[in-house]
Amino acid sequence: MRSSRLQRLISAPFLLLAFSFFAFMLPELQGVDQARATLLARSEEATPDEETLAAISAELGLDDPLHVRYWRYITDVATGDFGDSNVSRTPVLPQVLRATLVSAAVVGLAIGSAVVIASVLGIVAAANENRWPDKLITGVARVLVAIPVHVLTPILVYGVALRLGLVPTSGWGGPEHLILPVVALAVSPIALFSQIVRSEMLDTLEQPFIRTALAKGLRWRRVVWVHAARVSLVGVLTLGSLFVAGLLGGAVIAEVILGVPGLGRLLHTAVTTADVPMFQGGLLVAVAIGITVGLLSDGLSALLSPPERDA
Amino acid sequence: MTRRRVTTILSLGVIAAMVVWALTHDPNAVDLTNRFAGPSPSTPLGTDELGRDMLSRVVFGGFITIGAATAALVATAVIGTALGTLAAWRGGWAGSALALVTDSLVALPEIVVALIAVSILGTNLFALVIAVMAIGWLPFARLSFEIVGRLLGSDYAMAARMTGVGPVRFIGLTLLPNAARPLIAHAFLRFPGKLLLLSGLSFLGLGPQPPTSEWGAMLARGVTELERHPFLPLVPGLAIVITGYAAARIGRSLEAPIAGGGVLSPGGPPRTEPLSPGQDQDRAPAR
Repeated sequence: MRSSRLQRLISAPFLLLAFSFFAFMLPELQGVDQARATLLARSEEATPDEETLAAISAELGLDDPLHVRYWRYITDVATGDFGDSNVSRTPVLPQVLRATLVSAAVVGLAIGSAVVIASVLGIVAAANENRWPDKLITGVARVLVAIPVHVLTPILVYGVALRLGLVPTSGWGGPEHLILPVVALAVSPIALFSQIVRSEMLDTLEQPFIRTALAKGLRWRRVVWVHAARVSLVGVLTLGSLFVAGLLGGAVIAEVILGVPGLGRLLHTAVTTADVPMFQGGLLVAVAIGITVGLLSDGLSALLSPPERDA
Repeated sequence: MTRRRVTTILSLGVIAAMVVWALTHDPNAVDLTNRFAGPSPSTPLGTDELGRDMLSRVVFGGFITIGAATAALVATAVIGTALGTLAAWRGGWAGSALALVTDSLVALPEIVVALIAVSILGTNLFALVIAVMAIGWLPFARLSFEIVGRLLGSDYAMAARMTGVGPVRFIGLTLLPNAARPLIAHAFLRFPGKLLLLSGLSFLGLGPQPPTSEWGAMLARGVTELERHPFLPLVPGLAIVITGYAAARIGRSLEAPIAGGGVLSPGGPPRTEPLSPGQDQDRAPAR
């Protein structure tokens, strides 16, 4: 059951629009009184009088009808005005963009290395099916897949940072701060991707063109690493690109534990501090990235895979 | 007895012993004279920062964590299967609509959707379950759509239709029983994902609040003592990993005969990899 690429391409802007309405309605759903929240952010006035509240409501235009307010919101967003954070009282957009770049660096490195390492492991496992390298790789992968980030990261912090003292436990700045988050985020995809590469390789190795290549006298090694690998890695490349989208906003736990100022931590902080404008902005950017990367990976798989055949 | 059977009986025995221990020892009893104790006969897994018995806490935490993850999983499986089955049975626009909806929603990171749910519903166990359910039904809708679509083309479905059964009997008695096994296998394979998401959110402080001993929350509390008492986070951490791994194992063994193309297929277990748990970008089922 898949919709066509064209359907997805056409529906993408509408999906984003629908989501912007959802983000706009979020304070209502959360039951946040925006006038109160804004006043609290500006003056730390916890028990305001009615007059001040009314003035703020008028200033924010909270008394206008819904469609007017939504139109204002959506036009503001379209021109890059995502409002001011209730906590830092500075514009949301620059902070969201900075966080997105940080996440993109960490996630890009993690998924990139995961795809490379997993491809090698998966090919080795498939080429040695049911012998010890395969059993080792598959066994370890199955355990690693079950280790969540919030268990793995403390283990890494304890072992690599606290005991061995190789890298700082948390923070952001130099390249040494990249190591733990990248490893923490890469392990699970490595385990997952290597199993996918393995099973795709096993399918490929049974194809007639592999037999032909071997019959031609090509070496097994060359057939595995060049002929079969080429066909088998398409799936994992597109899957990897999907993971990038998922992790850009979704690397919340690793970013929080390791103090990485990325998009995931921004969303988490916005939720815990009830910073509505920040949460809305972060959400819109995360969703826009998710939709865009989804379309790009559609394109990627169309480029890489042989024309889709109907069996 | 085979080795596997011995292992099973031993594990069940250990679990039973742990439950009995937990039922006879209060998980919230504070003993400030005995904080951060190591394993001993009176506290087999040591004590936490308030001197509470870790074994008892981890078992009660298991009731909460596994219970909530199971509730969320069953609900997502039922909702997803209902939508997928109805869409396949109706066909036409219903199928395309469901395909478009699921394809659009998979673009959203699961944890972000969960954050939205928590921000609306607050930090409690109910909100956590809803947060985990929010888009968890997608893979079940896809899978049941695939399976039911295939079943609809089979001879016996045709035969059942020709006898003139009504839609309820047709779906309930003809289609679903035959779709049950792969769906149940898939549910087990999805369980670790639910467990990880749930305990992960709770780890972030977005779940039930203290003194409830949910695994993710226990882990988060333990991590703050990581440097001096690494044993403390290890207990709930291992509990999460072992539970997730066990569920994936069960799922694989349930799924295996199906993937091999029939329960009676000879020649050992098939090597087709199951849909993997963990991150939620599943491989699209075969078209």
